[in-house]
Amino acid sequence: MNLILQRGSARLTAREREVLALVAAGTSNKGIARELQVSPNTVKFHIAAILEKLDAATRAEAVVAALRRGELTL
Amino acid sequence: MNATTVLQQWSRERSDLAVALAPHTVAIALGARRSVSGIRWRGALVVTAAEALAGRDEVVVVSEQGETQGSVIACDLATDVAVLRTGAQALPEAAGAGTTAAVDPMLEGGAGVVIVGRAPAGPVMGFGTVRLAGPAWRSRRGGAIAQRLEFEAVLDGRFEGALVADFAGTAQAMLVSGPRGRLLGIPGQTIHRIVTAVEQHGYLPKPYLGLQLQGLWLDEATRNRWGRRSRSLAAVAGVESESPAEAAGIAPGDLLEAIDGVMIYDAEGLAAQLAQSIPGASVALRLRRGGQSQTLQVRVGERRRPQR
Repeated sequence: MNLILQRGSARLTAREREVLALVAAGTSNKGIARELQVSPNTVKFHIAAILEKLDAATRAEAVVAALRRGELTL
Repeated sequence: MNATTVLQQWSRERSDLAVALAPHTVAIALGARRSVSGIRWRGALVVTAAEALAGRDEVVVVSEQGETQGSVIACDLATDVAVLRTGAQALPEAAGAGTTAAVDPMLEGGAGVVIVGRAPAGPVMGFGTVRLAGPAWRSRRGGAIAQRLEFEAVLDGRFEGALVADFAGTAQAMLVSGPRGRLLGIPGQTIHRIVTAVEQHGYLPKPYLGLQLQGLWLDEATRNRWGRRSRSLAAVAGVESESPAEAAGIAPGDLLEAIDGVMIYDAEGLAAQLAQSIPGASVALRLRRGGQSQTLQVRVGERRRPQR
């Protein structure tokens, strides 16, 4: 069950949320690629899109922004 | 003229101090022209700034003994501490001895520090001052950090992850870059906590509850009535199925007040508290539901790790 409030312009896609959850857990790009069975370049592409959507300069900032938006699970 | 001037002596003591610390440092190559520093913490384990690694899992580590491969075994973005395992032969254990002492000592504001890192070409050294030495704090990234440390020094990117020591030569912190160009220190105590967990498990276990939170604002009257220090409040927006939170009966709409007696105001606050708990242990979550406070015991789970 989920009561996520729509806020800000761009929501993360389900895939982006998966990638960010792995980033938050400290997984490397290659580790994420293996886990999601995609190429490391695809992972980099997703991360760039996540940073853009969350207006974050770094991975840590993106993780915090997503936590605040209820898009990451603690 | 054999007499040594005070200036010469001052210069030599500074130099001796920095040179003695250099063997504890490594350079971490991040590309043809970019490198950061790392600290040989214990045995074959090296610590560096997590954010700087940008998702890499294998890096080239350059120490006094030469080049070796380093594998990133833990990367904690919240505290900005990453732990690497390096080729043990190239990094003899004895070299780390001086860096293990710095578990409790605290730096004071205004104290002088020596900052020693390494570039592939050799050690890089600088001197600075403790600009701010405060109590334990929670970083904006949700990391629980044993002491707030900010330095004044003129350094470049190669010092990211460098060793910060006091003038007695005791390692005190790792240098990382903070917001607005600030130079922050991650104290030895915080690094020790992470390295110890990594040594114990071979990785850094991530405590997990299965909660998604959203920030709310209370009006002034409610804030006063509920006796809260801040107007911000974290509401449970989602509960993952088959999670510890679900098992404990937490439901969307519950307002999170405190964990183990520590007030929680936002998701980062919970993240910081949770990071210090141990999977398998119980935590007491105080929630407000239907206007009533109630405390639920939740058994902390561990986030599933991706297959290596």
